[in-house]
Amino acid sequence: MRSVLVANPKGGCGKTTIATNLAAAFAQSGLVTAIADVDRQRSSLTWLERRSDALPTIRGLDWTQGVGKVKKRIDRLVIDAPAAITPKDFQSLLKMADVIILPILPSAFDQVAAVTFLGKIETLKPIRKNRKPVAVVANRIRPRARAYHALIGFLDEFNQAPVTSLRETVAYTDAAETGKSIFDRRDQRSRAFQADWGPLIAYVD
Amino acid sequence: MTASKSMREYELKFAGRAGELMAMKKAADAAAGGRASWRTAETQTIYYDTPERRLFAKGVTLRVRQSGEKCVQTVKADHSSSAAALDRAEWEQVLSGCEPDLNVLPQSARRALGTILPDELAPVVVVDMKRQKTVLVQINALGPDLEAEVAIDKGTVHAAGRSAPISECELELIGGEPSVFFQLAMEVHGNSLARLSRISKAARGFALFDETAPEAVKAPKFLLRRERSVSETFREVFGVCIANIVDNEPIAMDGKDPEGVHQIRVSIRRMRSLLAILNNRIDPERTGWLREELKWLHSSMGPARDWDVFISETLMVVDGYGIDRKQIDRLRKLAENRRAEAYRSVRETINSSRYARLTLKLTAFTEIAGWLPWPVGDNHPLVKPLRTHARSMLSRPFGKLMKGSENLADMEMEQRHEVRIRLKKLRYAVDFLHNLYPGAATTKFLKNLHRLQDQFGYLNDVAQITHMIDDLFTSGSKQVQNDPGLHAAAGLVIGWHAQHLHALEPQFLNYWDAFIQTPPFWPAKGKVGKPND
Repeated sequence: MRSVLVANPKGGCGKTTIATNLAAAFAQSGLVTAIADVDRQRSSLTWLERRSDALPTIRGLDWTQGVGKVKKRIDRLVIDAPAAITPKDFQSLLKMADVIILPILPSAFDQVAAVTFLGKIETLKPIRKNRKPVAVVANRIRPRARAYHALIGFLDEFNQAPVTSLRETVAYTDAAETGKSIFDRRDQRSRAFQADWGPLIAYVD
Repeated sequence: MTASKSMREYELKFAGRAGELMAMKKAADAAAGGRASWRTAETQTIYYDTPERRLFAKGVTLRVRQSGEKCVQTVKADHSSSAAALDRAEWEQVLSGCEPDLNVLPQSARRALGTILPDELAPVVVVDMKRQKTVLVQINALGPDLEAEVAIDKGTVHAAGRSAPISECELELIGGEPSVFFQLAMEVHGNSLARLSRISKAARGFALFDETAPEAVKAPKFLLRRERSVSETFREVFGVCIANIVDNEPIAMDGKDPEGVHQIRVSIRRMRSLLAILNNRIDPERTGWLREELKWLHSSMGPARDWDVFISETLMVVDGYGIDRKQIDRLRKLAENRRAEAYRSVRETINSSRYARLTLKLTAFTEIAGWLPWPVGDNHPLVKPLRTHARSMLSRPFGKLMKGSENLADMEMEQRHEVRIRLKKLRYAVDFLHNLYPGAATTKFLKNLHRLQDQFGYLNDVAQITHMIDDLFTSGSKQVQNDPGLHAAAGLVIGWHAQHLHALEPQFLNYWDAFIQTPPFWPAKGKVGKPND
């Protein structure tokens, strides 16, 4: 099994969007996939409730009351971490994860918060000792916008480069409404955005 | 002989020119008693991958092979679980169309492929091939003795608009004794220049796609196990060494990266030292030829290594010591010429039929355990676990080293060289066997032994410098021989190192004292059990 932890203490940066789409990418590849939702808002779990049985199956694990156990037969586990979490809980999630995804929005507030967070988690034991890889993902970007270039420049100052940049599109919100991911849709628009995920898959898979 | 529990596959692949393959085909005809019946098949194989080539990075291939109207999809996964063991998984389905279809794959294959996004797979490598194959059956009075397939492959690998020819001969044992199979292989090979090859057609295609040149491969560390027999260990070590030699051939021939020749020599030394360590347990008649051939191969690559070291280390450290750079540079130019000549002879060696023959014979020797007498009884020392031999394999060279070499400080150069050689023999044994005895005592012994041997190594390098500089002059023109600038530079190089060696003397003696006071990590005679647990 491989586990991916999606984390960022800042709310609204797209953790659930990334977690659900990543899980769907795993599931449509024939891998036994589960999402563990740690967030009290249960966004990932309610997305799963909307998801049709005809789509590739994703198991939901309710960890909102505490970190649970994972069945051995699962190939891929995606953990959707909440913005607010105690350091102890966060440590136990980190221990479980093979790789961490940190979504960052192209906004001045978000990028400062994210880099502070990055600096903090790099001093934590699991990352420091085992060198668990952290994938920074620039989320909801517009390639030609000044804010995006500012984000890249900002990250560069900290010797970080995003593993991939996910472009902003309504395809994500459209899909989410019906419990889908962009990988479950065959329309032109969704397909055009799927390729953004390739480098991230190469990194985490 | 007992039947082996695991199914071992015996497969040999040779790469050669068209003429060499023709000769091998004729030899196969002769082995079939005149003319074998060949069947020809033309195939096109397409290898698919993601834009990031994730499958290739994982050691997984997904291909569709079309032959006539039929399309077969194959997923192969290599999981190297250890240095020598390779767990290979393979899944194959006949497709209704000719595009890859992941939905027909079982869960295990999907797991091997990992995440594949929709529309992500695209052709990366195309192999067009004509295969002529035949099955050779040699029958004796008691029934089929040998059944083997011989295939001659000609074709082209295409990737990213580039292409490379394929010209190979493959032999595969279908049924029968491996020893007979290798005899056949030797017959088919004849004295051809075609060499053993370990590169798959897919790997060649991906290298073509990425425009990557082969890189030097470092021989992996051995994970010896106490309970395995000496003979099994022998096979594992030799197998890894042969693979390493073959893998480093292109780098050695290219000559730009010194690691190629270096790694080949390391692997040869490992084999030679294993033969030496087991000297009194192996019938010399079985390995005499091998010792000869390995010695030849090792020494034929010696000058290339010597000049590499001379240029990159000997001259390098002298540079920048207030010495006339221009003259040192002229000396380096001369050395580079000698190096180029040495590499020419490396290429001649690898391109020789003697070399092609040696690697094949060595593979056969390894696969059929040529070091064992036949029939081999259960009491033969070589089929006993390694642990029953390890102590004496270590204590013998150790005893030889210690005898009469207590007073290194009083020794002349000549005597020190003898100590160096004995130390080297101990080091080979220690490097092979130390991981049977993990623990602090072993780590300490290794550390003290290695740093001491580095010092002895430098002693030898310095002794070599004079010879090599002599060679630069004697092989040079009259002008070179009488060039005062070059002579001055040569004198400086020799002098610098002689002085440096002298300056290191106190440290050298300290290392020596520390080493002779380090207790051995293997158990004393008569003591049973593991020392460190």
